Amino acid sequence: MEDYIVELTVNGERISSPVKPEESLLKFLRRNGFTEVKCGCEKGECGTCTVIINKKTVKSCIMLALQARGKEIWTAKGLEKQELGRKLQESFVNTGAIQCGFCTPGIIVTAKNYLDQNPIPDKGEIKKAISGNLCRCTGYKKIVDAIYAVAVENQKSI
Amino acid sequence: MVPFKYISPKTKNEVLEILKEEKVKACIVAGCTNVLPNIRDKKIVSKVLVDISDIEELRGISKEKDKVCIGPLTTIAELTNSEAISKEGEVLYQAAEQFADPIVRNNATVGGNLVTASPAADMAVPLLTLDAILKIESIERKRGVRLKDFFIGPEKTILREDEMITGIEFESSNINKNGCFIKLGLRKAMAIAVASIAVNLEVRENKIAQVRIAMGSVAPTPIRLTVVEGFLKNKEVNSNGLIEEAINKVREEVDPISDIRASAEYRRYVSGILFKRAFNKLT
Amino acid sequence: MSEFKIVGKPIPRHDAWSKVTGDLKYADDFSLPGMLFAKVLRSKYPAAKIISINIHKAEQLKGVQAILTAKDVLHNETVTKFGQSTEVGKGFEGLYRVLADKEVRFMGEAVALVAADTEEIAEEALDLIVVEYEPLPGVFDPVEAMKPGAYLVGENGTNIIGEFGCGQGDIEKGFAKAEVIIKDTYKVPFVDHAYLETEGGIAWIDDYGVINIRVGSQVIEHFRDVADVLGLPHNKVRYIGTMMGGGFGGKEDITVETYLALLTWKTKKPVRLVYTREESILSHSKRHPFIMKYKVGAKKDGKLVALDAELVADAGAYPYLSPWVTLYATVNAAGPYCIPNVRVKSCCVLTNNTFTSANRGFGAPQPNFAYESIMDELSHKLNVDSLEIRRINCLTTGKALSTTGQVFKTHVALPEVAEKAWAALGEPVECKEENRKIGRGLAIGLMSYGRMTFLHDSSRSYVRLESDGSVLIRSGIPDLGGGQVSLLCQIVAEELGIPMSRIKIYYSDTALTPLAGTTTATRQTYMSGNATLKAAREIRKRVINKAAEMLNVNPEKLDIINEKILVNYDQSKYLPLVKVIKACNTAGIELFCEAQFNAPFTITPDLLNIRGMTFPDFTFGAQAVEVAVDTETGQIEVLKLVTCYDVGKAINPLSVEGQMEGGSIYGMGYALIEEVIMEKGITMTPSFAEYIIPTAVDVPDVKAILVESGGGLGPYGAKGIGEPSCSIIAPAILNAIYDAVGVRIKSLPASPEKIIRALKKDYFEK
Repeated sequence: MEDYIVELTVNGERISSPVKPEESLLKFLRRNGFTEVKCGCEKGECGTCTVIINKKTVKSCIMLALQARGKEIWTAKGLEKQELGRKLQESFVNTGAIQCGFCTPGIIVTAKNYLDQNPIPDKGEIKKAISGNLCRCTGYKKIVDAIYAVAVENQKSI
Repeated sequence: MVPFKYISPKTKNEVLEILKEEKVKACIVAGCTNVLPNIRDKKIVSKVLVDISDIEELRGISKEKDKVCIGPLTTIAELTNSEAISKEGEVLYQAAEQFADPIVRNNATVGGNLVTASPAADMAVPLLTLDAILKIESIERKRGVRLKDFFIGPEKTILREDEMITGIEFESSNINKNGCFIKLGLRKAMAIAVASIAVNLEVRENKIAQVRIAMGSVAPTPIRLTVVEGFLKNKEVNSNGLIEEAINKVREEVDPISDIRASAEYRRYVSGILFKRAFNKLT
Repeated sequence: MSEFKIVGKPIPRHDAWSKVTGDLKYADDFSLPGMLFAKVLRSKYPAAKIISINIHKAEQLKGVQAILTAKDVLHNETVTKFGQSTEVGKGFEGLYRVLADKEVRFMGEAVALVAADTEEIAEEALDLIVVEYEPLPGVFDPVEAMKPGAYLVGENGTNIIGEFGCGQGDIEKGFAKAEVIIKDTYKVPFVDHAYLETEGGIAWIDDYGVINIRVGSQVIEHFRDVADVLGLPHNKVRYIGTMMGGGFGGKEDITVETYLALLTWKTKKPVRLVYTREESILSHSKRHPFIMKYKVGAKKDGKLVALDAELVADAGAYPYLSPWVTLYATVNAAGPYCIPNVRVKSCCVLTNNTFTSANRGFGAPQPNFAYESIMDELSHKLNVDSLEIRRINCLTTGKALSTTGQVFKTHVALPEVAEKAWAALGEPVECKEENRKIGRGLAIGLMSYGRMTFLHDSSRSYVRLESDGSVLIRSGIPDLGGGQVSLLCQIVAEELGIPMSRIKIYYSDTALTPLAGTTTATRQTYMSGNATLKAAREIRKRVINKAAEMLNVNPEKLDIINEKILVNYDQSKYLPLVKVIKACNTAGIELFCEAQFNAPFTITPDLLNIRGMTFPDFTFGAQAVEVAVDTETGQIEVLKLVTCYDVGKAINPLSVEGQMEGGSIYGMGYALIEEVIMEKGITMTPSFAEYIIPTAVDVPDVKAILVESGGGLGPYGAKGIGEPSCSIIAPAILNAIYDAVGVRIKSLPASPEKIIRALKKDYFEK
């Protein structure tokens, strides 16, 4: 019955695994060990499962695994290896932008992809950019500050 | 339980063939923002998932000489990045910027938003005031349908089981260039409209030459307010009491329900306010 | 000790990196070979008799390994304890049923459990279980439920499960002296905790026959309750707590643990159970709705003379923590004010709504909303400004709580916090738009930290100094995201003069870590902080004494800084810490210590006349906001939000600010948009599409002002902040709305519709 195979790359690593047609990309990723992609609502309403697919952010709970065939996916874990991702992670750590940490990987992913395209946003733009990612602990203040700190650094280096 | 199947056709015609073959068993998947939650809720079971997301001919925005064509697979994010949309149909552009959130906008498609036929559909409301025409195809025939004739009830459209939307068009015209969309939600992102409005207006020599008004979440489907439109047509823009009277007529024409977000009475009331604000912005 | 090296510094938490990379494994990120997947069959009715349950078809389904119903549970009717060492009795404990038996009392109540080879099979099996119900009328309004002849939710002959009272003076005489009296009724709704991680865990039986449960829980002491349900000795059940993706009180009661234990015990295989979001909203506890009747009397100058409050809390379908929450509300009912004549009466009542229990604030946010709204009414009626009316009435150090008479021996930072918060609003935002009005509001409040003293609370912690100078901490402390675990590392690093990186902490394991009590009641900084401080100081004393002997100086002259023990008047004289450790080891001096900290113990009070100490101490704070109200749509925008608390001592300012910022927004959601809507017991807001919480674009930049009086009972004078931080923002916002448009909203949330209905009475009444 399971004759559907998904092949894709996650954080530069090639993954191949049989799937059911209705399996979400989120379930697929978690099943394959990418547990940094969190499951918060499975309805596209919380953003904890956000990943980057071919340079766009996607809530992986509302995408079929089969729709990601052949695509290049990045998660928070993989962003560790990229300069901007690492900078953001460092900024989150130092700013205290983390409490329970459950929204953190999704927000890091969103912020990284956003800053790639808009390197020096203001705080209002940052808020808009992360408005699809819920956080229940921080009140968003330190998250926005952490992303903004990286934007300020970007501006200096331009 | 019969298991799901998955097909990813590469051309429009392949899709139409599959629809003809599978009929009700087929479930078209594109942005998937509604399909997966519905699968999880068991509202969609045992279907053949027809993934059309790779069909390039159904995607993209093109400006022809007197009209703008939008492929149904065009994402909401693509609308927000389109000069043609912001120039020729700003009302749609404004609605796209308020749609869900930036991440969902990367996946959600215009066609998907229309066929879901939610009374709150954020794309339907501006496309109604752009007087959009849907190109609908089956393997046997093609037809063009005005969007205002497309919805027949909550989550119900005239689309037959072997048909799909293959294009969305609106005219390049003065009235379409002058539009305003306002959405009233309970929060500023990821909001489902409590009420939404789009108004497109063309004023000539201080008179309302043409006006189109559409609203979301105030009736079983997104609606055009044709009575109000008729009332306003040919009236002087600044005539005394015009807006007040129009507000009353808006409140008469809408047909809202009470739900968890607001009561029918509030929706009726605020419909008038939204109309006033959109109208004032355009005059 | 000289000045702090690590305490009080805004340092990253020890676990921060594992969270930004996503390496940290939460409850749902863990699996075991051969594990089964569990699902819960839930009631479709809020009130019904169970005529029969037929599991025959479901059992036949290939891949189904176990199906359990109430008859399979040895002790199905149970009382959860929360690690307290006293038997408080008096119907004061959280009775509930593991699985519904003969009847269901709320929609979503667990009826049967399934374990199967895959999640899909488990789900299919749920569909094959046939439950025959006979729907019952039920009762959904607590006031209705109190009336004689009301539908009875439980078996006790009354729906009232707890009654409380307290006060002082003579209420009649008090009101006789009043020159102005305000009477009003305030209502607050059900709300969800909306932590982003739903409830989940995995259980297995280890080589020694012990049930291990790896779960996100605020109360690992529930291992005893789980063991009791299964009829096992307590040492045969072990909790391994994970970091939680938020708790806020919602993971204080048992969630998945008993189900996991039952299924793993039955199948002898590992079992995983994770709730979906919908299941979580449907089935876990909610914050108590309250109906609060208030009458307040004052002199013309604003001085309060009498307060009479009647509180009714909706307990939902089972008691759980309702009596405790109601007691908190009762004690908090007169706020931080000196009022000579006070009477508070309260009760909690069973209904067929989803059960209610702990939610951040635990009975404080509700009365705080009521009394701070009244104070604002008074301020407008008497034309005494908001700050002044609070200044002349508020408690100060040495005064006593007007409800119970508990005397404040520690520092009371009122009205200082109020002045600071109010001033921090700065110049008002200018607004020329006709339909947009700006307004400001203030609220002050108090909330306890530490558990009720008659529960005889204690916490234990273990610290061991290794021979290489690294440190191992073992503490049962659960961490729900507030940084509870990291806090202990910081205290030990400070005391033993080592960097955070030299510390490894094991936490939240009932078999291997000393029990630290619950991460609830804003108690861990205070309780486990003190226990850990005590253990660390004991070890510090031992190494310093040894070093003193080696250096031949008075131990009082020694300090440990940067892994050196040095003479504080001559820092060139020192010994490397490692060298002293070696000497201690050679001499047989123990460099480990398990310490216990006890809170003050009191006897259980007369619940109808609560007097004296009920809590160890309180945290005081103030919040000020500026809002814009759209007078045509009723939409509210919070433009500025200031939160100012006396936190005693901020051990980690980043974490404390985080609590204050996050708590403010948690409370802002309560004020403006959050409500679990229940219609006749049916949840109408079953997912995050309907139950909405604030997004990044809905919030102002919260300004947090930390006052550090050093007057707390925690380590270094710290106070608790987790729950107080969210408990007064709602009245501040609603007072600001009144200031902007003259509309007093008396029921939360202050939705646009409520505001418009009040503003446009002409339209809506026609």
